[in-house]
Amino acid sequence: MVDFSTILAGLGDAFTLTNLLFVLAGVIVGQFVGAMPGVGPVMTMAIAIPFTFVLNPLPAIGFLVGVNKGGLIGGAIPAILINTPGTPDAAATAIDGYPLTQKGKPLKAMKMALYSSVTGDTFSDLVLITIAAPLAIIALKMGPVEIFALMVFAFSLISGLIGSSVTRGIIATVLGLLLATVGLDPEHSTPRLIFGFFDLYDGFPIASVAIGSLAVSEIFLRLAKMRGEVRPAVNIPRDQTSDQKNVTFTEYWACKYVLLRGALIGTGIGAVPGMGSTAAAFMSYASTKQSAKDPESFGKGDLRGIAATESANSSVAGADFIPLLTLGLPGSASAALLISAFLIQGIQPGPLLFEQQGQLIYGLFGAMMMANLCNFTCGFFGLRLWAKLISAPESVVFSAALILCVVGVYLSTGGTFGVYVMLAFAVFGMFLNALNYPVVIFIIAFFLGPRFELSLGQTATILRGDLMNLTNHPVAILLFLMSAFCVYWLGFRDGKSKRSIEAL
Amino acid sequence: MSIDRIATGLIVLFGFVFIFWIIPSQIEEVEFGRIVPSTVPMIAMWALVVVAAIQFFTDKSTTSIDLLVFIRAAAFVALLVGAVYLMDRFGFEYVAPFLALSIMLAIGERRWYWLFFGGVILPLSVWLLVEHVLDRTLA
Repeated sequence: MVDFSTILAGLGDAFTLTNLLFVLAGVIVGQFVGAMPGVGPVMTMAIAIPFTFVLNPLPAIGFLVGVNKGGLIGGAIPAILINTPGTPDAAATAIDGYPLTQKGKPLKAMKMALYSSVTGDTFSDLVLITIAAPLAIIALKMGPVEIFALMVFAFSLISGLIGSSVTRGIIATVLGLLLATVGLDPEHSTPRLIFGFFDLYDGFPIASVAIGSLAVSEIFLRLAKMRGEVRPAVNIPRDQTSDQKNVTFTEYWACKYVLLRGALIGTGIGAVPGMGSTAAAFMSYASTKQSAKDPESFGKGDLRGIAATESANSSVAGADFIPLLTLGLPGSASAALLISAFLIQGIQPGPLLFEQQGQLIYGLFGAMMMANLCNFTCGFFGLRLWAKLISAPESVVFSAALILCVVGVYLSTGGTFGVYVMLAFAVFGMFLNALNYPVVIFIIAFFLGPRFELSLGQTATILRGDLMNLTNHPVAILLFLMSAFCVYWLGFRDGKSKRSIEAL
Repeated sequence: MSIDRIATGLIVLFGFVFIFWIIPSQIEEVEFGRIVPSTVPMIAMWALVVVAAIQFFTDKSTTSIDLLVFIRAAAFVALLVGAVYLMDRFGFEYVAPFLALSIMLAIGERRWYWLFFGGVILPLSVWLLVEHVLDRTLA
């Protein structure tokens, strides 16, 4: 168990001016990119990761956490103002946010989104801080066989939950695992699948794979779809009454159960790898609408609709860290990118983090709480500015993003080979996207590939080649059975549960 | 036959090519150890073949691909590959502005102030930041 002095030292590390500035910068960048439809925090995190590896771990990860959290609020702004979600998880916010704008209350809608988002986010951070360390202790009791079974279970779960079908998810997973084997074999140190490229002895560079398949592929597709159109500018009238532009405490407090329900749904879903914040937002919205006495008011500019979606999608952000920090399993694109940032910093996420890097982890928790405060402050004072940014030209944004990707990968890999690898993965990512294969699963499998192989090797040694020895590991058997059940339930039962979420 | 089914068929083919040709030729055979270097690639490829085969017969989805978008995307990829090659030869600061301007013009940006900002100010700011503030070289 982490002792109290480590917790205090970690929090002390976090609450320094340097870290505050990095977290603040991350939040500002996150809100900025979140407010621009099409860019989003995931792409920005991918671009920013190579630039953070020159920083110390805490400010680097604090900055990325700031981008992620800032994007949650930024994404709601275009959803409310122009009915175009800045991020997918803000799509549900548009249902009630945009009608409020049409009624002449855009600021009120944005402020409700801000308060709800910060409330949900803070709630899930508190849950994370409370339960992560005890969960890590349980996780530490797991041996290699159980860890291997857990990884198989995680892959089955995310294959079923992310993307259009379980078969596509499994194909993306095995492609990620295959490409993770490129380079020196960890056990025998013989080169594998390098095709004569000695630069590949260490495998594909993490930064090239992440940026290429997540950011550059998306930029290429967006550039290819553009025709030089300019988004309409949004002007918020200054002469609005207090009722039109402010959310009173009474209005906020009236939504307390909606906010709590959203936060609980978001935290629960965020803790499960693969579910994602979009599902949380729609589930929270649907349950709020069902339980309301006047469901007909939803979709016409009801503040409870915004509260439900924003508290749910934002609470996923903190809960995403639960499997990441306790088990080393990322459950979403942003968590996968954070794992790559940890790896670039030489830190292996997982239960041992609390023993070996307890101070850093509690520093990270402190940075997350700071990010919430910055999110609230920047959002409160910056809403009008972010609203104006919606009409910023995409031509500048995407050409700059592309140049930053090239520079970032060049710096982190030390040459143009890494940039060519990034471009190859960008093309690969475009094909995956076009054919509906989930890129996120591919990335998660790629990052977990080396650990998967290590666990497999250890499992084979422990079982001594006899599957009957698995009977000594009942938890592993249970996890394998759950994996099979997941594949059956989410895949070959025709993804009924997933469809019900999508139908909401 | 739908694009999805053709793509799935190609994935099955890709899996078999890997199993019977690429893995034996690109991974050294090792006689000892519980798992050998080819174990995980082999498991992954057999899983790929089996799952893709199942998908080939069961998948009913019909994805439509906008060919024009793909051709334009391919043109941007080619532009960037060329730009990276030229950056390696002539230096980032000479090539990046042309790259940014080409992209902006290609997607229809015609406002001179944005072209100037995105095509000149931004790339040169990145170059100044990296080469002169961070003191790192850019080719």
